[in-house]
Amino acid sequence: MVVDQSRKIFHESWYRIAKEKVALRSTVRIHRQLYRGVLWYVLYEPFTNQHFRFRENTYRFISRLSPNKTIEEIWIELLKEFPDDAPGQGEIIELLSSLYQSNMLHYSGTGDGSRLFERNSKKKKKKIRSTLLNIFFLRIPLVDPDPLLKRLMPLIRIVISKPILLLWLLTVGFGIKIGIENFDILRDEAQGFLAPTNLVWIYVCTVFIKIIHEFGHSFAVRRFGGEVHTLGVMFMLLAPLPYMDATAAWSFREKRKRVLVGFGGILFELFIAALALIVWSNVGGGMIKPIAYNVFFIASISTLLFNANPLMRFDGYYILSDILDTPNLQQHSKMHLKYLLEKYAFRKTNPKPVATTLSEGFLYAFYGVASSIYRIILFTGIVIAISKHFLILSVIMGLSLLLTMIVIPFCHFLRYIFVSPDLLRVRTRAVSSTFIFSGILGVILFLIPAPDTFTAPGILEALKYETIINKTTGQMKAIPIQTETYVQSGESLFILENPLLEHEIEEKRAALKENNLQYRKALHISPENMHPISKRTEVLKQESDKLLADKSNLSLKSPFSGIWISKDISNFDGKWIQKGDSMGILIDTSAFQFTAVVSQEEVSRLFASSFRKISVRMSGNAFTEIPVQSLRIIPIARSDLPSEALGWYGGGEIEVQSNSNIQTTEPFYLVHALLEKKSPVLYLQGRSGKIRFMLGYQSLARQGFRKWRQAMQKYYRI
Amino acid sequence: MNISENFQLTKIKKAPPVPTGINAFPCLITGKFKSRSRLRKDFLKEAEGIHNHQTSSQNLSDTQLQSKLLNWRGLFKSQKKITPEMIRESLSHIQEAVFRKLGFYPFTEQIAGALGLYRGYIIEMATGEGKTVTAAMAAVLRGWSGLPCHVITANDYLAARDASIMEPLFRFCGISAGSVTSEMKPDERKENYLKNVTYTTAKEVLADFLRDRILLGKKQNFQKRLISYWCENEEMVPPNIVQRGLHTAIVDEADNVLIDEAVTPLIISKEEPNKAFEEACFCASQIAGNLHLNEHYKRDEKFRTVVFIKDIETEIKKYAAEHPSPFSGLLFQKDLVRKAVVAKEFFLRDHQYVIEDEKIVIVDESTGRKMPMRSWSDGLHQMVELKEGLEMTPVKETQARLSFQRFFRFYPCFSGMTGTGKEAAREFWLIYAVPMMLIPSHKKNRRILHPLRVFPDKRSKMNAILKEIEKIHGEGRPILIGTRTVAESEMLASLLQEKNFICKVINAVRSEEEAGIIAEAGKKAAITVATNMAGRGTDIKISPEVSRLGGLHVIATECHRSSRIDRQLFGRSARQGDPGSAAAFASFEDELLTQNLPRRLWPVLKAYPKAAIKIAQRMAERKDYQSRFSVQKTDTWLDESLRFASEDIQ
Repeated sequence: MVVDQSRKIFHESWYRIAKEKVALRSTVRIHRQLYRGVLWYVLYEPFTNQHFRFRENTYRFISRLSPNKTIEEIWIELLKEFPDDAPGQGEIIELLSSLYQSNMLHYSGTGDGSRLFERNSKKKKKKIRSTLLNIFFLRIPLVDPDPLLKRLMPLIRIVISKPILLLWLLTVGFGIKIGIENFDILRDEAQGFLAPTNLVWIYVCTVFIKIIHEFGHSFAVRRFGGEVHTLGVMFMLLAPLPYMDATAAWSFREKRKRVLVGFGGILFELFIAALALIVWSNVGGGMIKPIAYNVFFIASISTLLFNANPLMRFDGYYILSDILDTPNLQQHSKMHLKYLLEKYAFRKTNPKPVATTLSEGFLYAFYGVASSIYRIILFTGIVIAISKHFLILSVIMGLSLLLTMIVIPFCHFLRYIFVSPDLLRVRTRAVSSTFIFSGILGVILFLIPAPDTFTAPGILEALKYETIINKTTGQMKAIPIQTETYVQSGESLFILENPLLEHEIEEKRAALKENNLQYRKALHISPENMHPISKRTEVLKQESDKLLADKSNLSLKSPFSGIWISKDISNFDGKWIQKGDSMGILIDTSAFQFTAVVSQEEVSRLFASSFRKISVRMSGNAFTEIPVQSLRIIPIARSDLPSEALGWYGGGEIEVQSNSNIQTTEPFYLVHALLEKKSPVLYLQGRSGKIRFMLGYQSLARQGFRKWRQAMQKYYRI
Repeated sequence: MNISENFQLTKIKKAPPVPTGINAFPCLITGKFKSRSRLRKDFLKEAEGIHNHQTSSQNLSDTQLQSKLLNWRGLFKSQKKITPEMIRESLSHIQEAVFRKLGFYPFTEQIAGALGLYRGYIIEMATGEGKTVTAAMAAVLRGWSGLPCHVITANDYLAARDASIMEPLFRFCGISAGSVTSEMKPDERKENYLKNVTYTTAKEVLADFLRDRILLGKKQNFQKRLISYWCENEEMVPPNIVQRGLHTAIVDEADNVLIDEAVTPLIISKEEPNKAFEEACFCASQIAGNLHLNEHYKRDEKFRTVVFIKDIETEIKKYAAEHPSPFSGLLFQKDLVRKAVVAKEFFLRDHQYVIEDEKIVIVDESTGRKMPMRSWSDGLHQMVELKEGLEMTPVKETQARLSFQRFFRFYPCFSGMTGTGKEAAREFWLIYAVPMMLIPSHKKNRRILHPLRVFPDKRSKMNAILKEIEKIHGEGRPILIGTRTVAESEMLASLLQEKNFICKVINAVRSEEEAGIIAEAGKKAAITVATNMAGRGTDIKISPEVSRLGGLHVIATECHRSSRIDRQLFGRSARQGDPGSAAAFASFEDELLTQNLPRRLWPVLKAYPKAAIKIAQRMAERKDYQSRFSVQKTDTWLDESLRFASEDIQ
C-alpha cells in the first residue's frame, strides 16, 4: 500500500476561519446510519430538505461545533485526541463551506446580506437549467401535502400495519392465482392494450394509479416520522403525472424503513392490481371489464417494468441502492468507470478508487454500463415511437436528448481529458490514448471497407412439383406409400377399388359380345345392318377401353420420382374418393429455387448492381451458406406474398394489410434464385430463409448514412 | 474624515468572475475588438493633434498657465462627465507644463500613452521611451479628481526617484505627490497616501491595504461603520489607517506585477512560537533523513514533488511513540515528511535560496532577486532550515492574505505600462478586463537579433558562449550576459575569470552593488553577468564611442519559460534608437526543455531545435497560466464559500 499522497494538513486560508465561532443551525438534525458495516452520519435540514453524509472523523468535528468555541480551538482539541485521524485544515474548510452553501451553518457575523440573495438567485438559475436539461422529467411542485397527511395519520397507522400486510398477502396471492388461471386470456387481451381507442383510458388509469402510488410512498414516510412537503406534477416524457418528494426517507436510520418507503408505491399498486384482477374475473362484460383490465395491466406489468427497474432512477434504483448499502449508486458507478479508465487506460499512478471491495467494483461497473445502454435504448425507442405520430415534437425531444445524453457528456469528457486537474500528471497519455482510440474507431468506421450487403426474406420452392389429382372415382383400398416419402417414378401412390367399374366393364364386355353375335347374324340374315352394328361395336370398344383405363388408374402411379406429400392420406382409408379430388403434392427434389421478396428500398441496388456474391441461409441452418447458381429478377412490383409465412401474421417480417395474410402494405419485387443441387441443408418446400446480396465493400459509416437516409425517406418523407 | 471620504475608504470594485468555457469566447472577441490595432492609429492621431496644439499655450506666462491648470483641476473634480475635448485641451496644457518644469516636450507617442493610461489600457512601450513622464501625465489627469491615484513602480528606488523627479510638474499642475517605500513608518505612509498621487510598489500598497483591513476588522463595511457610529457611538475609523481607499492604479512593469508575480500572495503574519510544531518538524526531518531516493520515494520532476513508493507509516508511528505531541500523529507527519523530502530533493542552495546571516533568504528563480521578507509556508521553510542546520524560525500565523491578482482587480480605474506585454494581452483582458495597446517607439529600433542557437548539451553551449564573448569582447563592445539562476551566473563568472576576462556579476547574492554595476555595463569592453532581470528599470547608457562600435551586446544563456522575459533581456540593448545586438543560446539539457517536453517526442524534436524551444515555451506559458487561473478560481471559490467568516474583504 502506498500512503495517501494528497492529504494536507495546512490550508493557506485557514486564518480566515480560525477565529470564527460557528455552529449548526438549530433545525439541523443528525442521524446515524450503517452502510456495509461502516458508520455514517447524515445531516438533514428539514427547511430545505437537504442531506449531507459524512464519516465519523468529520462527525467528531461537526459535533463539537459550538458558538462558544473557535474553529481553531476545536481543531487543536481533535489533534490532541485523535492525532492519526483528525481532519486537515483544508478538509474543514471544504466541509464548512459546503455546510454554509446549503444554509446549515449558524454564524455570528451577518456577513454580507446581499450574498444570501445572490446565492439564492444563483441556485434558482441552476435549478432552471437542470430542469430544462431534464425536460423528460420536468417537475413542477404544486402543493404541500403535509397537513393532509397529518390529518390522515390515523388512517396511515392502520394502512401500514401487520394485519393489513396479511390482507395484502391474501389479496395479492388470490390475484396471482386468478392471473395464472387466466393467463391465456390475459395475454390475448394485451394485444389490444395499446389500441388508439384505449389510450385515453390508459392515461386516466395511470394518473389514478400513480396518485395511489405516490401516496404509498408518502404514507410510508409519514408513518416512520418523515415529512413530505411537495406534491406536484412531473411531465414524464411529456405526459403529466403526479409525484411526491419522499427524500425525507434518506435520513431514516434503519435500512428496513428506507427500503419500505421505496417499495411503498409498488406495494400499493400491486394491491390495486390484485383487486382489479378479481373484479375483471368476476364481471361479465360492459364498461367495467376493460377498465379493470387496464388498471390491472398498468399497476402490475408496467410498474414492475418501469418503477421496479433499477436501471432508471425510479423506485427500483433507490430500493436497490438501499438494499446493497450503496447510496449514490449511479454517481459511484460513473466515478468507478472513470477510475477504471484512469487506472487502466491512462495509467494514473494513484487513482482514487470508489469501490472498497471487488464485488462492489463489479456492481458499479455493471450498473454503470447497463444503465447507460438501457437509457439510451429506451429514450431512442420512445423518440422513434413518438416520431411516427408527432414529428416536430419528436425532433424537439430528440434534440434535447442529443444535448443531454451525447453533446453535454461529450463536452464534459473533452474538458476532463484536456483540462481537468485529475489528469494533470498523465495528461499526455490521456490525450494521446483518447486520440489513438478515436483514430482507430474512425479508421474502422470510415476507412476500413466492410461487406456491403442487403438481405431479403423468402421461401424455398421446388423447381418442379405436381399436384396429384385423383383420376377415377373409387373407394380407397390400400395405401402402399405414406406421406412425405420418396417415390420412384411409376410407383403406385394409392390403390382404389370400384366394384361399379368392374360391373360396368363386365356390362360393356357382354354388350360387345352381344354385338359381335348380332354382327355375325346380320352377316347371315341382313347384310344391310352390318354397318351400323360395326359402328356400335366401335363405340362400345371405346367405352370399354375408357373403363379399362379407369380401372388401371385405380392404382395411381407417380409421374416422376420425388417426395410424395399428402397430409391426410391415411384418413382416406376406406373412403370414397371422387374423380378430380386433389390428393397431394409430388415434389421433384432434384432442383430447388429460392423465391425472395425484396423491399422497395433495396430495389435500386437490386437492379443496378452486379453482385459479388449471393447466398441463401435457411432459418434453422443460419451457419450454412448455400451458394446461388443463377438469379432471375421479376421486374414487376407485386403486393401478394408467395407465402403466408413471410407476412406479419405468419411470423415473417413483411408488413401485411390487416385484413389479409398475403396482401402487403408496400409493393415488393420477386427474385428467384436457383440453388445448388447438393447441399447439407435439407431442402423442403416452403422452408423460409434469407437471401443475402453482397455488392462489394464500403465503409461502415457510408452504409450507416445510407440506411439513415432511407429511414428518413421512408418514415418522414424527408 | 467626512462621509464621502469614509465611503471611499473601503469602496472596491466587485470584479465580475473570470469567464470560463463557452462564456470566454464572446469575452475574448470583445477583448480583441477593444485591443484592435486601428485604435492605436486613432490615439496617435489624437496625440499628434495635442502635440501640434502646443503653440497656443507657448505664449502664456507661468502664472497664466498655472491658473488654467488649476481651472482644469476644479473642472475635473466637480464635473461628472469628462469629455474628450476637456482631456485634449488639458493635456496640451500639461505638455506645456512638462516643458516648463522638465525642459522637454513629450513626444506624440508619450501623449498617446498618457491617453491610453487615462482610458484604462495597458500600453506596451519599449524600455527607455520615457514611461515615467507618460505615467506622470496620466497621473496628473487622474490626480485632479482628488481620488487616490497610485502609481506602482518596480521597486522602492524607482518609486522615490520618480516621485522626486516629477514633483515640480505635479506641483505646477496643482496637485501633491509623494512616495511610499518599504522602510517608512505608518505616519509617513499616511502622509504620503494623503497626497493626490502616490508613487509606491505593489508590495507596499497591498501590504498597507491588508494592514488597514486588519485594523478595520469588523468595520470593513461602510454601512456597518455608519451604524456603529450612530448607534453605539463608536469611532468611525481607527486613527492609524494609512490609505484613503483604492481608485486609480497605474502599474509600471505591468507584466511582472500582474502576471509573473500575480499569484504569489502577500501575507501579513505574526510570528508565534509553537514548540510542538517545531518538534514535529524536527521529527519529520529525522524520518526523512532515513528515506532514500528510489527506495522509499521517487522524484516527480514535472511537479516538483516526491511520490512515495513505500509505505512510511510504520516509521512515522515509531517516531510518534517516542515523541508524543499533537503534531506527531500520522496526519501531520505524512505531510511534513513529504515536505522534508521535497526540501531535500528540490530546494538547492544558491538556486532556490541563499544563506545570509544564518538565515534562509529566498531567491526568486525568475528574477534572481533575493526576497528577504518572504518565507515558505506550512513547515517547508523550517524543513529547509533544518536541512541546512540553521535555527528554526518560529511559525508564522497568517493574519491576512491576498494575491496581487485579486488585489488589482479591486481598483475601479486600472491601467498599466510594460515593455513586453503583447504575449500576455489575453490574460490581461481575461483576468483584469484591461485591453492592451502597443505604442510604437519614437525612434526606429536598431537592435540586431541573432538567431537562436541550440546545442545538444550544456557543455557545448557554454563553450560557444565563451567563444562569442571572446569575439565580441575583442571588438571592444560591452557585453551583458543574462543567466537564469544565481548559481549559473557564479559559474559563468568563474569560467570567465579563468580565461582572464574581467567581469562583474549581479545576482541575488551581490545585489548591493547592483545600480552601480548596471550603470557601468555600457562602458567600453565591459563584461557583466546578471540574472535575467537584475537592475530592472535602470537604463544601460552607452557612450558615442561604444555606439560606433555597435552598441551593447546581450547574451541570453538559456531561454526563459516565457518568451516575454527573453524579450525583456534583449530590450536592455539598443535603447532609444542606439545600435545594439542580442543573441540567445539554448541546449537540450536546459530545464525549460527537460521539464516541459514529453520525453517520447525528444528524438523528433531534436531534429527541429528551434521549434522545440518554441513548443517548450508555449507549454510552460500555458502551464503557468493554468496555475494562475486555478489560483484565481480557488480564490473566488473561497470568497464565496467562507462568507460566514466576517473579517473578509468585502
